Amino acid sequence: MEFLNYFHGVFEPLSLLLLVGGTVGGLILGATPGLSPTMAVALLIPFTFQLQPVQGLILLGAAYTSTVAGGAVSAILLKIPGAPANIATALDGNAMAKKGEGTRALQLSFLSSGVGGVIGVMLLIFLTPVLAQWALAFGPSQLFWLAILGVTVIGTLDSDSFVKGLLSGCIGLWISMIGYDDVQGAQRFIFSDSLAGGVNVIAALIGLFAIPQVIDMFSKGRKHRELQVVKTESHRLADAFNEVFKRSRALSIGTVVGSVVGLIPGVGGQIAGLVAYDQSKKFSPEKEKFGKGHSEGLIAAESANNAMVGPSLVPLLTLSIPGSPTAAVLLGGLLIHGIFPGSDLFERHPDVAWTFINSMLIGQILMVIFGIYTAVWVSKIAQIPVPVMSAAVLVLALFGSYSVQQSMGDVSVMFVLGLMMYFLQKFGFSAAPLVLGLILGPIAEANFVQGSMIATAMGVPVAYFVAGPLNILLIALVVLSIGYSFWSHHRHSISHQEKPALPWQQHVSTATMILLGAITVVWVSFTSEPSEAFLFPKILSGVMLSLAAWNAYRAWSGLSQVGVGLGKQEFIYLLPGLLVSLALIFFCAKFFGFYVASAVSFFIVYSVYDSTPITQLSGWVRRLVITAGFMLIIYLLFAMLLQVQTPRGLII
Amino acid sequence: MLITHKITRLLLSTSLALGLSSVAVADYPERPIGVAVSYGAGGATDFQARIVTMVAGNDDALGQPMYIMNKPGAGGRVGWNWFATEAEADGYTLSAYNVPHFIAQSIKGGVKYDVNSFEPVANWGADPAVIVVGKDSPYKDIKSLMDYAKENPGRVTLSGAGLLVGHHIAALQLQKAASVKLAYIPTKGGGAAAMKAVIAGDVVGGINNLSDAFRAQQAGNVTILAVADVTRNDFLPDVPTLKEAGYDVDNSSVNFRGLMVPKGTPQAVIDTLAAKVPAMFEHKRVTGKMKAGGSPMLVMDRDAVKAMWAERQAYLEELLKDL
Repeated sequence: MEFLNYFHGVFEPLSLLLLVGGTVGGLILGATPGLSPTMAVALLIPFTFQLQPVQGLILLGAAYTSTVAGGAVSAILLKIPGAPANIATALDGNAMAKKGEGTRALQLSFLSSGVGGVIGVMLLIFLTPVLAQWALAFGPSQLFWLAILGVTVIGTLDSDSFVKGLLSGCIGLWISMIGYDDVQGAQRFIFSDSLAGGVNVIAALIGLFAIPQVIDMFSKGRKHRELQVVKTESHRLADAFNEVFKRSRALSIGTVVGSVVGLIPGVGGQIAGLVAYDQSKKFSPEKEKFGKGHSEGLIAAESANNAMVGPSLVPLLTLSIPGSPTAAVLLGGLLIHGIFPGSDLFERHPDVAWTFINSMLIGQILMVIFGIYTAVWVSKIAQIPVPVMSAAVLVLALFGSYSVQQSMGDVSVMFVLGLMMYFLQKFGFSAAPLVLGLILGPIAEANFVQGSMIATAMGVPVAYFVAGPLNILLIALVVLSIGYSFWSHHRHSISHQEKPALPWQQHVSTATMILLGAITVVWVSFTSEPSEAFLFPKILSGVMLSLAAWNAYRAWSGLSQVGVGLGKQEFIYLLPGLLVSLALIFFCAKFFGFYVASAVSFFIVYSVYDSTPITQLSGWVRRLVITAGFMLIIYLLFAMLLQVQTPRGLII
Repeated sequence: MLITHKITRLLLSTSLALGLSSVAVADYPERPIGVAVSYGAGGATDFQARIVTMVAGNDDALGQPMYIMNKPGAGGRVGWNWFATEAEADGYTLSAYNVPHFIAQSIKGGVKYDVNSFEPVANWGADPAVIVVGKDSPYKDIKSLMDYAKENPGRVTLSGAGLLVGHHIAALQLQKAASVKLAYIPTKGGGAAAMKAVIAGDVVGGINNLSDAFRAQQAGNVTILAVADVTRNDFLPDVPTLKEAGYDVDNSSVNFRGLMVPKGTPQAVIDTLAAKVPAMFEHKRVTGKMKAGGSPMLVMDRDAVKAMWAERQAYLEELLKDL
């Protein structure tokens, strides 16, 4: 109970100020589409140089906690996850927001985050020595099986079609192999320079979720009649409270999954939310409601991604091994201040360590308070007129994807992926399995290769991967998961009754294109050198080819029933917006400078899609003012606060 | 996309040339300077780079702050490829270098840079490789480990932060010097992941940075058996060098870190940087924080670094010939 002695440190004026500031700032940063927790923490590190170690840590810890929770805001309101951890939140949360239940979704989300987070930090406080040992138990073999377990989840995640879900996942896995192979240094699938570093997960996330939304808004044209100005109902907090605790199964699944996943170094809490969502779906008697605005999945996902925070600090604080990308940044922050994490951290610097942990605890509670307090008026964001929203998200996508690594390559990749996803979505594919594949691919491959190297060196090539209680447990879970996926697909396909809404030709043409793509990947994988570096691509492309063939067969025989296709009208409507976006991303931003190019593009898009008649002068004035206001906010956020250096081009 | 890129570059470089010719050198630097780090945030190079550039904004230093841009991937290749081909040579984009990494990678091939693509500015750190084992390891000194390796060729697994990095070079040298066959296991995730493999017992031992190993030993998680350097290190006065233990390994695997600019940067800018940066590295705040972080420093000026690079290039060409 030593931690009780150090609570006073949290309530010192400057520390408390930093805690509150970090929490509020973290919520705002997390809620901004395009800014991930890792980036937010990394961008805050220079601010901590002037502070005492404890204070710097408090700031970073508060930011870590609240950016993860804040990411739920844009996930729910805009269907754009703020971080990979919030992908599952977007699935049901946004459906609820579209029905006008945005406030309820936000309240549930913050409350679950708070519960999960507090339990996670409690685990950190009381069980650190035990947990540290468990963290070490996961070697290359165990991590490989864990990644495979994650992969088996792909099939049933947010897909009405099992084949398309798996295909989506395969595409994600393939994309994760683009770039230099980390272990052997071979070049794989680098057909353009900007891909040399591989596809960055955050840039991909922004592209895969934000861009299709934007293009979709474009395709509604100027009238956007059916665009709901859905009135956001207010919701009593007490009701949300009751609901969270009524859904105790989802809450517990979420917390347990989050804590376990967060603890294991090398997996990262990015998949905590997705795995929790999937598991709570498997154990729920109301499976069909998932994805349509059901609170169970939301509660599980959000409690998981905050429960992850505490345990992810266990390997960091005790062994100096970061359990997630954000924890890695925190480690850097610690080292800069001369605090060496290690098993003796609590003996040498108990004040720093315990005050920091206590601040995380208080931070969770503050995060819930601030989050809920602002939930009501934040949910009004869903009522921002569509043309403004589409223009704003486009600009945010540009800045967000650039800020990750100051790379224009990331921006291009972001947009290309987004464009691809828009079309795929029209034909029944979903982004969530793709991102999951993208995240798990490197983990599965790196651990397999490394495990094989160790196994060969020790002379036990196969036994290494199947021996030992933990391996056996994981393999059993993998088998169960695959079995369950097949079974539920079988059951589901019988009851699935959607009216085929699009012409046979469109299904066939997309299926054929995908098949051709799969064949290309197979060919490249089997003919590239060095052959050993392409082992995983070979296996993957084989699987992908079979799935693509199965998908094509279904399209040909008219069995494919999902997807809404692309109408000619929609295509015409989206063209102007698309052209402006292409010009901005691939040319104007770098040539004229980010801010000027964005301002002009924002104004053009807004004007094109605004329903006010062209001749109305007040309309032009209004649009100019809003453009200026928005760009000012962007400037304050990115240039002043985060100090991201964007290309200046000719102007700025 | 390639075409737009070319036009953009042409227009940009023209305006840049026009602009530069009218910029008086005394004005450099006028705005914050970016430092590209070819590794992820939180790693050794990253946090050392953040520390050594902390005081750049001081009046007696460069007068403008420096900010870090992480460009990780493929053991540093991604960042350095970018730096060699796309970074503007106007003095506002620097990069951190790691020797032997970038030289070894360019000798092996498949990258867009070599030792002549960059102009060194100054060196800040020299982090030797060390041989570590877990705290429960049966091997208490380097000799017993090597004896075991001799009897069991290919069985001694040693983790390291990647291929063609200092750790790998040290492993190759040790194999030659001790006439044993080791199993070098490159990890993904840098020095931290390699250290975790040692602590968890996934591997028999590891080769890692002195700075990271020093802290892990202090925390009681590993034991450092030997240092791959020519003299004992001040941080580890009781740890013998490999040479002392009877294995002829010199300091070619020492991880030198410093700052550099792209080739083509105006000479005046290079001169300004070369004059001011070493002093910046020796600022009290910087040296204090580096020491506290267990990171050994070795400040070298531009000429010394140029000589070091040339010497490393020659040595590594020879060493990697048999690879």
